[in-house]
Amino acid sequence: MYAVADADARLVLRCQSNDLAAFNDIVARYQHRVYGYVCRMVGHTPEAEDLTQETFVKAYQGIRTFQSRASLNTWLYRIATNLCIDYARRAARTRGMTESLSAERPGEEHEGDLELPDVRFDPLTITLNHELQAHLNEAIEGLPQRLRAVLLLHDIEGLAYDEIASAVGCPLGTVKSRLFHARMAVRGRLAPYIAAIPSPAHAGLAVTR
Amino acid sequence: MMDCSRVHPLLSGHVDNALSPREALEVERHLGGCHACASLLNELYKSVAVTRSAPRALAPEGFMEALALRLEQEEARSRQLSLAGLLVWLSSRRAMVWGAAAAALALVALTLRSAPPPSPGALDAPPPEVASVRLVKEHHVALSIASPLEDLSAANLSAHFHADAQ
Repeated sequence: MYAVADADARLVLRCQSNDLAAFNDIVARYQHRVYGYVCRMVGHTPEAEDLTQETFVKAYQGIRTFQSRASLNTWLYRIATNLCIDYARRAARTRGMTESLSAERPGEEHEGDLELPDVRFDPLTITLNHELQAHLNEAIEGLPQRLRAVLLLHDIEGLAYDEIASAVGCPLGTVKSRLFHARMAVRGRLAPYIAAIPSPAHAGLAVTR
Repeated sequence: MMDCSRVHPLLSGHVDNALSPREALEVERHLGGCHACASLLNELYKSVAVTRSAPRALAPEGFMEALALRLEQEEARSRQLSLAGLLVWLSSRRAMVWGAAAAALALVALTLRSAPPPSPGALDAPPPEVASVRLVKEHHVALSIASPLEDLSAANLSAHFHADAQ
């Protein structure tokens, strides 16, 4: 983790010294992560590539004044998140949707269904079949943008709570709350499909970074 | 003991091993006696594991080349915008100079228009330079009369002067 942060900091310093070949290294290092995140945020559309490019264009324009208080990783995700939310807002307006992206959906703050099997399983053994993958995609795409961003940044991109708070610009408590509601919503969608998955012994899922 | 509504928001943190020791203890104590919450936790573990196992899309082939091209275009556009901005700035400066000149001219014109009109008598008076010439003439005539031998033309000049005066 620290080695990655150090390498990133060195790349940023090189960029700030007008060594723009270093920016290529940043793109090479993060293109897949940013693109994967954007795809999850806006769907696999032509706009996903465009928004990913836009993320790096903004990073290129701002790299000279980038302060290393935040990590490069977090900074790139913040740019991408803002672009995706703006894009979704514009798309919603275009479609004439009245749903407010800033509002939580009704019921998200409430408890979900509690009748569940008493099993746990090792995530490392999971190989998603196509059907489960499709339901997961639907569950994630059904989340409001702000919940979706937190879920993706934590459970797929592997950011810590405080890094997510920095990336999406909200307090730590809000990150935890959004993550909980997002996970509950996904669990609700996947429940019928994961009930049959066998579970070995109890295993913690703390992200290892 | 915590009730279910207080435990639920903590279950997500439990999955991440992110609870404080005290919270973890209280949650564990609750889970020991609440089958529903224990089931929910299991379900969350599974759901999160499925999410974490989702495959990641890779950036399309040629992404870096396309980005390099776009960055070049952005740089060129930025340079054009800078040049356009400079021209706008310069033209605004030139407009300011012309504007200042026009304002100065207008001020002069207003000052002249607002100056008090000359008095009617002043229009009949001889121009100042004629009056001064007349003064010199009178002085010269007076000197010539007083000492006619020194200026033989004084008498003629005196006669001419008096004819003019009449």
